Amino acid sequence: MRDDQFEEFLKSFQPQRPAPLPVAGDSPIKRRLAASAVLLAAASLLLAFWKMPPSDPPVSNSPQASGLGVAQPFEPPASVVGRLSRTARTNRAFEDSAGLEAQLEQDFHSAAPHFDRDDSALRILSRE
Amino acid sequence: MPDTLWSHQDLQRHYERHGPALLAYARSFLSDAARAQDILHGVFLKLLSSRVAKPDSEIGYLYRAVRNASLNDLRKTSSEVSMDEGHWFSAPAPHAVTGFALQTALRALPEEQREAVMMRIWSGMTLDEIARATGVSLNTAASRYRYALEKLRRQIAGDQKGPQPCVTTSSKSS
Repeated sequence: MRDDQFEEFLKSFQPQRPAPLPVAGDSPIKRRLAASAVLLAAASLLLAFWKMPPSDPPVSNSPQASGLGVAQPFEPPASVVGRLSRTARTNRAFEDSAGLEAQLEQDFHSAAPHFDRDDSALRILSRE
Repeated sequence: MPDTLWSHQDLQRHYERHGPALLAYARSFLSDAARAQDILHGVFLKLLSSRVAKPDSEIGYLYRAVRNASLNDLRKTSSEVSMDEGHWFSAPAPHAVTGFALQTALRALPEEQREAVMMRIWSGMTLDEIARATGVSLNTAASRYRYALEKLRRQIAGDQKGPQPCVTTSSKSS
């Protein structure tokens, strides 16, 4: 067999075709990055909703409709009383008015300036 | 110089045209078909995702990249035994020589001769292009190719003369 015949003979053997080249967008690294971005966005949304203050429900004239006429097992922690919605404070007032009063008093003293202290600005001004 | 960078179209064209030959070349180093396929994909995906300047001989560069990646892989996994020694070639029906005999003969060639014959036969490169791609003179490339053909011819002829697989010939004998 001459060289050119042997070359033709070899060319008649076809190497197997490789699988199609994966497109660049489908690379595992890019897929992982995309998945991470989606997870991050979901976590941010969740955090944003969690930090959002509770909105007041629409006020209704009917005690039943607003839930005032029925006993509701509601006992929020004392530390968050100041951040309760208006409806929740009303419910608390029905159930434990003395406790709410004391809590509001305590919140007021912790938030407002102490006028009774010797170094209070108002006391100094009143002396003048 | 953006016009000298590999483009997606360049690489896709090379993959279509030379992918089979490059896969066979990778398999001449690695017996594992899946690993050879991964090596080939890895080379092309790396070029797709990075801004690499086009070399003088693009096909030669691809052959060299496949060779280096295959040898690196071989070094890392030399102790593993492959269970997948399949065919790299589909043999034409009338020939008695199987694709397996051809791949055995190719694997027995010295690396530079195997590279020369694969570039010439299955990638359609001229001897001049092979010389430039491999960084040798035209005479050296031609010699490598000639020696490779001669060894392949001898090896395949030897296989044909050797013991043949058992074939049922009941229709002829009866």
